[in-house]
Amino acid sequence: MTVSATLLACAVVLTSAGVVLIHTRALTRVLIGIIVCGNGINLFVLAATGRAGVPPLLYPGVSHARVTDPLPQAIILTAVVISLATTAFTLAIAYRSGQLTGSDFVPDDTEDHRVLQRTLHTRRPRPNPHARDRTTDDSLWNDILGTDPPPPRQDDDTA
Amino acid sequence: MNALVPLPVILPLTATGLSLFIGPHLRSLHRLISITVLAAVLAVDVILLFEADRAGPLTVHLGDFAPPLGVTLVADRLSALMLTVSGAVTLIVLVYALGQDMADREDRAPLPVFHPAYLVLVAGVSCTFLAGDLVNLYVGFEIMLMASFVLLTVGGTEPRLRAGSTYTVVSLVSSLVFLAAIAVAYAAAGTVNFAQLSVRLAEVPGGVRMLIEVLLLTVFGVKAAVFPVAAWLPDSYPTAPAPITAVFAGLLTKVGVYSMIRAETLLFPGNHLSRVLMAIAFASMLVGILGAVAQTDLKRLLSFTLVSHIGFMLYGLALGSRDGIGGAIVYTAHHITVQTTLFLAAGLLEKRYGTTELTRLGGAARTAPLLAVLWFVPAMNLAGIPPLSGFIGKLGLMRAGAAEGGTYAYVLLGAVAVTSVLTLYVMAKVWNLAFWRAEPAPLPAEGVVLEDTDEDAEAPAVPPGRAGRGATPAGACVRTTVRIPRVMTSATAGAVALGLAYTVLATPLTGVADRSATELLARTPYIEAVLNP
Repeated sequence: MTVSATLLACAVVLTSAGVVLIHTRALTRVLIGIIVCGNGINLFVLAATGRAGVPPLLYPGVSHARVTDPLPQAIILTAVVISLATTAFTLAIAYRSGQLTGSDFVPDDTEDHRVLQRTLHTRRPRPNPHARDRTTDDSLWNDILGTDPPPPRQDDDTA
Repeated sequence: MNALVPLPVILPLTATGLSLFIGPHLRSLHRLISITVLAAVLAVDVILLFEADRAGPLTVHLGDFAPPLGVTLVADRLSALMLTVSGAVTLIVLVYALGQDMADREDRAPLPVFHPAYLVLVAGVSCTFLAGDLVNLYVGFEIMLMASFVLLTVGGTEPRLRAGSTYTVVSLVSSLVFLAAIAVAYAAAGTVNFAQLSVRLAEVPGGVRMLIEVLLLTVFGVKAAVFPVAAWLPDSYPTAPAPITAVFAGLLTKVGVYSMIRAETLLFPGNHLSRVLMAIAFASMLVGILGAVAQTDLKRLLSFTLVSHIGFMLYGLALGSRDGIGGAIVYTAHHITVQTTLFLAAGLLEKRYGTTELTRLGGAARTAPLLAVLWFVPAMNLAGIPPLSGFIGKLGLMRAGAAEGGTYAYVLLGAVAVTSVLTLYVMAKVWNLAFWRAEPAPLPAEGVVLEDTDEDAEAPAVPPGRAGRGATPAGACVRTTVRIPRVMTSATAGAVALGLAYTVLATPLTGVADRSATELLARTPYIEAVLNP
């Protein structure tokens, strides 16, 4: 199979640029990265056609051997339509995120952060006066045997 | 009978059109359409299962193009079984969601987005199970993902947007890799039809074949959330509304597992990557369950057990024997149901007590005994306590592993045992913290704000009537007690009953799974059915 080196080179450059952009934190940049990367992959699919030929319109007299393969083009069209929808959706998320927080940065997951903090014991969440503080006693058996919580403390509501 | 094959895709999509056409009015008509259509889809799925089991794979060539051209839909035993289980689960979750919808009075949204999105999700899942070529599989994934993006970010609150961003970006990147894999496969073999690919890939040079296999497995691995690429799942699932998390946890990851089984048996027979898959299964099981041990939020904990139990199915696939793949199929069917049930029960808990944070729950066994039963049965099922289907699935996998022998299989066997014990530990921990111990504080009368841990100690005066509406976004400080709608409880009970039914129907279920494993490993029934109809 003959493959156009230009197509492949463009595909590689676009994909690499896209991958770099995807690794940023701002959602709009990530989106641009995905679009650029997607275009690179589309060119890659196009390269699967092989040698370029005449349009695949089978009028009488057109030799089948010279016709270009239409299937990769159909695949690309499908991918382009899908990426249109996903782009619109991601833009909507970025816009809504900007409305709510003022930026489109994707923050770390708060729960991950909390688990990390609990593990490191650097800063504990403010103890809940009504519930048993799980970190007070690290014995696994308390979880398994289900010990009862201590009586509610009253001295915490002075503020 | 073959004419029934496209219906699981066509029916929900038609209903989506109807649903969008009706617009924001006539809520009861929306409900009626969704329930009727999903019930019809389930009926079609059951017929397909019986027919595929009796007469071999059913195929439809859309537009009547000759086999390797055009779009082919195939329903063999594996597809039909997955369709049936997913049909039952989606119907149950829909009923649950409708119960919650009615109770939350969320029906004043400007655009009724839930029904259309949910129906599109069902169509996408069905399309993936029925796809007979790589491109159609890709399209099925995309339909499903598009709907899941919408469902995951429904409401547009800040935590859901954060979760939705991660999920969307990960999904889009994996779709790009999928597209690249399709390009390589087409360039190497000149076709995207599964049946023709399976014949032609045998003549493709080994390195290129390995490249296609690794690319496809990476994509399916991201969807299935196996270990190195699983981190997106526990971050994005828990913030969504309970029924949506439930259906995602049950179905979307299993679609990835299904695609892996299909690719490894049909396209790349011979099981060359057995050891790689075993290593991934090993890491998924242990890392997932250890992640679950560290969590104190019920929904996140369940998400981690989900990652860990995907490893079981991968283990069966990695064994590559008839018993291994049969065990993986049984376990997939069991896990779809039980994981969905657990998330539904967690949703009930959240609705009743306003939180899924285990440190703040307690005494639920006394205050909500029915809910405790609805949690306990699927929890024990997940852990694999003997009469339940989890035990049947694990027993099948372990027997297949022992029959296979070899160091790797036995190490994995040990990992399966350790993971099962740790699952039991995690479930016991949830049971003791949320249900069994004395409640942390006296539970108030229905519909009253119990506590408000905002930094300013001044509790906002919420009139009881408004609090009763369940103003409880995930992770909020306001805690209310609300009566759970009977529809939600019944739907969860239905899911529990479905999980128990696998025990009663164990012989037919394992029978179908074994026959489909035989069919998958033989390969010829599928190829013959598609290429020489």
